[in-house]
Amino acid sequence: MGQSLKYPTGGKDLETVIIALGAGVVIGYFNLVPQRVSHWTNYLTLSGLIILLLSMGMKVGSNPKILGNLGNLGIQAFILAFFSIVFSVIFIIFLDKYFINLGNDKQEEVGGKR
Amino acid sequence: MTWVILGVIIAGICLGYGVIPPDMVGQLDQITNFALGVLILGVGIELGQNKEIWLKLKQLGWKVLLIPLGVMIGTLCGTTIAGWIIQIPFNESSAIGAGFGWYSLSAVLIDKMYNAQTGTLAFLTNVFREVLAILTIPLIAAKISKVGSVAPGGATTMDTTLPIITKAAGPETGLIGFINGVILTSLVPILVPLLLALKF
Repeated sequence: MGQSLKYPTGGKDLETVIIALGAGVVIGYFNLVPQRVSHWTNYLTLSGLIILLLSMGMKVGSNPKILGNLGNLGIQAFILAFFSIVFSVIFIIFLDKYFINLGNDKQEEVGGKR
Repeated sequence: MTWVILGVIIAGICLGYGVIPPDMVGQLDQITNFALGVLILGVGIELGQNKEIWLKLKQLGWKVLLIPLGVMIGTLCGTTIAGWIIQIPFNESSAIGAGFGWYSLSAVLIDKMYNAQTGTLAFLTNVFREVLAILTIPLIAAKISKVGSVAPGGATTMDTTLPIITKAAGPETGLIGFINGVILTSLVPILVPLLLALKF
């Protein structure tokens, strides 16, 4: 098991991310989106999200390394992933409560405390 | 939102398993990157339009660095405890955790520097982390804490999970998420080899 060294290379395309984010910030900051188009952006985001999640699911489904390992190794991986998420969330909530004070509430109050 | 996401991912997995011809699999990366580019452009526009979030970031100052620090410590504690449960040594479990969801790099590093079995475990763990993050971010943002929704994604909060954080917890949290993702991403190639070398 796990003899082939070929792992998918997907997951990080730093150039795309930085260029797209930077271009977006400039467009948004200077209000370059025409008024007529602006209400379409929601649909664009939604369809982008669906395409992204669908293709990510397809990558998982078509990868024999993932579906072929869902036995013992899969359970171990799930436990590792689950605990890393749970403890990350706990630490962030703790740090937020005592040091950062961003607050959890939905109001837009600066430094709103809980 | 979580149910829609779960449905779409499961549909994708089924399509990938049964329907997609093998020669099309290579194009999935391009599709993913294209969709990601469009989404991140959208996130950028939202960040640019909300000028007050930049002021808030300035007010937050160095404290923003506490977020990736917290995610790092939380992850390493979590994987150490998990490693104790599944009985793998500390250097393996912590190095696997230090992938922070960046499955391709962490798996290759561990595979090359350590062994193939642990590399595969790192790959699976970090794929699961990404998928679980996508599913739990909307729930955490709505029910527990907005900043808390940055935590599950780890290094992926600068790309794949950034649009979800921004949608579920707003552009202010999205900006924090991006910073968190950039810092954790740059820590992966440093921490993974370092932790692998720690043998007791």
